[in-house]
Amino acid sequence: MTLRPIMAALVLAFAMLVPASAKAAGVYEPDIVKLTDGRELEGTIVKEQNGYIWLDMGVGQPLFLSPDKIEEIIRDSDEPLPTEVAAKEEKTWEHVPGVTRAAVITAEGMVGMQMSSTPLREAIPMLKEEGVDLVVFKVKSGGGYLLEIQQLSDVLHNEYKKEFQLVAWIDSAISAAAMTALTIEEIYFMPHGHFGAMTGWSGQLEAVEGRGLEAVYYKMEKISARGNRPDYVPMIRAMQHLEPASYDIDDETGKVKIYDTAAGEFVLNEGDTVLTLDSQQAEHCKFSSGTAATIEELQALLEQSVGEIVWVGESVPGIPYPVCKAEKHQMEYRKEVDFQDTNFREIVVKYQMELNNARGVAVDRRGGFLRRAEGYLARIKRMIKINPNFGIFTVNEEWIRQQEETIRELRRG
Amino acid sequence: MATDRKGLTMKYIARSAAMTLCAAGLAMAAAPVSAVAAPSAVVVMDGEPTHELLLTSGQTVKVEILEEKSKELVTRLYIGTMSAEKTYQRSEIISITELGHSTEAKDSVSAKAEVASAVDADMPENALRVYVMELSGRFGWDISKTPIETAVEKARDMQADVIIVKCNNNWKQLEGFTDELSDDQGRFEFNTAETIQRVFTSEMQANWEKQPKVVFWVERAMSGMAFLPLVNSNIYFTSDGRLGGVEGLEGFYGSTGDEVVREKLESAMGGHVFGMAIAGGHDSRLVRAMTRKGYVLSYRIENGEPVYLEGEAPGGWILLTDDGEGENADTDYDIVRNQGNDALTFDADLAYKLKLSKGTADTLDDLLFEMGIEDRAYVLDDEDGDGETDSARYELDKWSSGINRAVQRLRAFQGDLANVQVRQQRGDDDGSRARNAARGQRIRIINQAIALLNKYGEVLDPGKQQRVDLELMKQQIENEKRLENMNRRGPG
Repeated sequence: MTLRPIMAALVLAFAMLVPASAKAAGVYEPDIVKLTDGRELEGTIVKEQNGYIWLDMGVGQPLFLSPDKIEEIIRDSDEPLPTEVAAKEEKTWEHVPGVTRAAVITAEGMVGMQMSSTPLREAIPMLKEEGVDLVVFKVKSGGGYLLEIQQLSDVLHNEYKKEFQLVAWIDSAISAAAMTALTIEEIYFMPHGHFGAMTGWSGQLEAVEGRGLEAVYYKMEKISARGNRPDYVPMIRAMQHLEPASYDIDDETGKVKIYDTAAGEFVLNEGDTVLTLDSQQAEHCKFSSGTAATIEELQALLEQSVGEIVWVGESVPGIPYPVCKAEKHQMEYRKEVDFQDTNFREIVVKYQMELNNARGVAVDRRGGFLRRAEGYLARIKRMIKINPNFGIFTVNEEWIRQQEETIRELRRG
Repeated sequence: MATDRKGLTMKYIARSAAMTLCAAGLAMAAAPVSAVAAPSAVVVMDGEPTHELLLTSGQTVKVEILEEKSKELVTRLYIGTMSAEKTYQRSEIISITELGHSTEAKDSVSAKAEVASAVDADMPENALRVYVMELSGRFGWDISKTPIETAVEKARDMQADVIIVKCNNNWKQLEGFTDELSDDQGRFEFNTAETIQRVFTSEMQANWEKQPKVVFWVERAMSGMAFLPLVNSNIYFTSDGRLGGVEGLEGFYGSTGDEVVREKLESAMGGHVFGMAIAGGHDSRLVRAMTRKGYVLSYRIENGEPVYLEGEAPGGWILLTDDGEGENADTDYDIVRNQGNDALTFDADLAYKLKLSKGTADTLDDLLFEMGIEDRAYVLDDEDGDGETDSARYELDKWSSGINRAVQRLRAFQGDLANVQVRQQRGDDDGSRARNAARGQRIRIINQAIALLNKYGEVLDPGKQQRVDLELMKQQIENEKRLENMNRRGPG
């Protein structure tokens, strides 16, 4: 469509409806846009982005003007545009029929700490805001806390799958990270990717046993069902125990049959070790849907089923995939948890030092020490707010309450 | 590095004066000029906070300190991608923590500065730009991610087409002696190799527009270093080259805890190293044979290709590794002659036979010939003609000497701290000024130690806990000062 018919209509509308009475009343001062061709347009600028403007002239859709057509803008007001409009400004994308908008978000670090359900859940509106259809959940974790697995699986299954097509891309998924990724039906590996070693343990390498072990089994059964992998349960058990696993591939149908013995044609585990799958094994036994070293290779694999893909996000030095807002959020969260984790002991010890200082002086001299103690305590509370798991394994809410009471007592004397 | 310069078709003759300055270690002289040519590095310096402030409100903020005044601190405050100038009263600040990246940022500026002045002016137009770096010294000490990353950044700035990484880690029994360790004296350690390999894989994918060809040339890739070349299919050996010495995955945790947990952890570690080999296009069974003494592997050559069999060698097969049990255990005779077969260590012949290596070359000329690029290769920035890119050597040496100096200074740290004297001052009747001056001196010494650990933390303090301890020492000193001040003022 050319600009001319729109312009004609707008000029007409402009002449009929807008300025004179308003101006005369002194109620309304329009924005004036002087064009490079000498014309002047009046209306309200409702949206601006990178020099482009959308000028609402009172009728029909706002007129879109590119920077090369604009000579000068004389504004009605210097005030920023309303929040709602500003939010709309950020939308620089549009859905093209037949094109899937895909984004990568990474799950890295220790499960329950850096790899947590909190930032994952927070990322959902960001993904929606950027119009993402397909989320690649890239996993690189050596495992972590069992208690976070259910939280992560719930977010992925109950929330992500409702909004997006979800696939996993395995860099390294060990233990709790592997259990989490089992939630996802479609799993791809990187060539160096590995997946398994799910044995639960604590303390001095002591295996989870008894009811705790049954609870883990049950969790795995539920999560495997979510990922639609009931046939792979013998293999998943071999990732937890010194149990064998093997498989056959039907020559005609290509269907894989997994056994809890070493009797199949292809042996994954003789039973003398705990299984960790590599990318070749995973692809051969059809646990993975394919192997991709780069985002381009992954795209080629995904496009076989979803058609054309466009990646959402911007190029960031050192990162081999586009970084979308949701991914940026994951990275910032991890960075914050890393920082707090590293400095946690320091903060707690400094807090205790301040309490000791306060105890060592008269009541009326304690104020400065106690203010500092409160500052450190506030920081500890903030850590727990960032990631509640900090509190579970280090200091909990009860401990915080006790400390607050201690400070009050010291202040009272 | 061994090289025969006669065979090089293209030689590196002229060098700019600026490069001479750089090679002489006078990088700072060239920095102001090149900083203009490297605006991205300047942005990194300008665009990142250098300190974290803990405020009395409990809030922490990341800032760059612009000016320190007696009662206030002028900073640039960073929130997300935005920054703004902000002044804090000292009374509202509980602590100031230096963030780790400031030193590296400064280094990256000088590094880019050197590269910018190292353009090879006389290189023929159609030459293949070859960047050669030798990883020598102790793996996980001299050979560490930061210097390698910096060297590879230089290769990118020089638009290298080929990067040759000579692997030659220190495998000597004693410094200064020629006798080497035996294959069973290495240890299973993969974290360092896994960290470094990213420089040649994912980071290269992300940071290079046109991917260079990376070639590993193995003289000594022993112990943890053995895993590094495996991430790539372009491996060559010197005729006396060796790769291995990493048995010990099996039984890594000894008898601690439950067997199933030990197996799980070993399985997870195996996943990492087998994965690296698969990514490099190698058969992961070879890595199993390298790392697990109990793993039995045989092979034979079919149509020129190696074929493997897990288990003892039947007729026509050759045993690579046995189970190392009972009479199969390597004898001392085998071990000292590197003839054992409990775990696999490659020499040049075996590596070539099993197609782990693409060829054998003792000199750079031979290597370029084996690679089929001898008539087009131009070794970048090799003024001294030793077959290694000078700026790569400079970066790697700078790290080695820096870390050794840092260790010496850190060793002296406790002594320096203990030697701080409280010196009497005039008009200081109660001695408090003298004591505070001594405290200030101790804090400066601690800050110097923290700065060294920030710079060499990946080797000297990977968990950052030494730095935390030092921060606590500082706090203790501050507490002494505050308590003394309070007591001096007398009862309230």
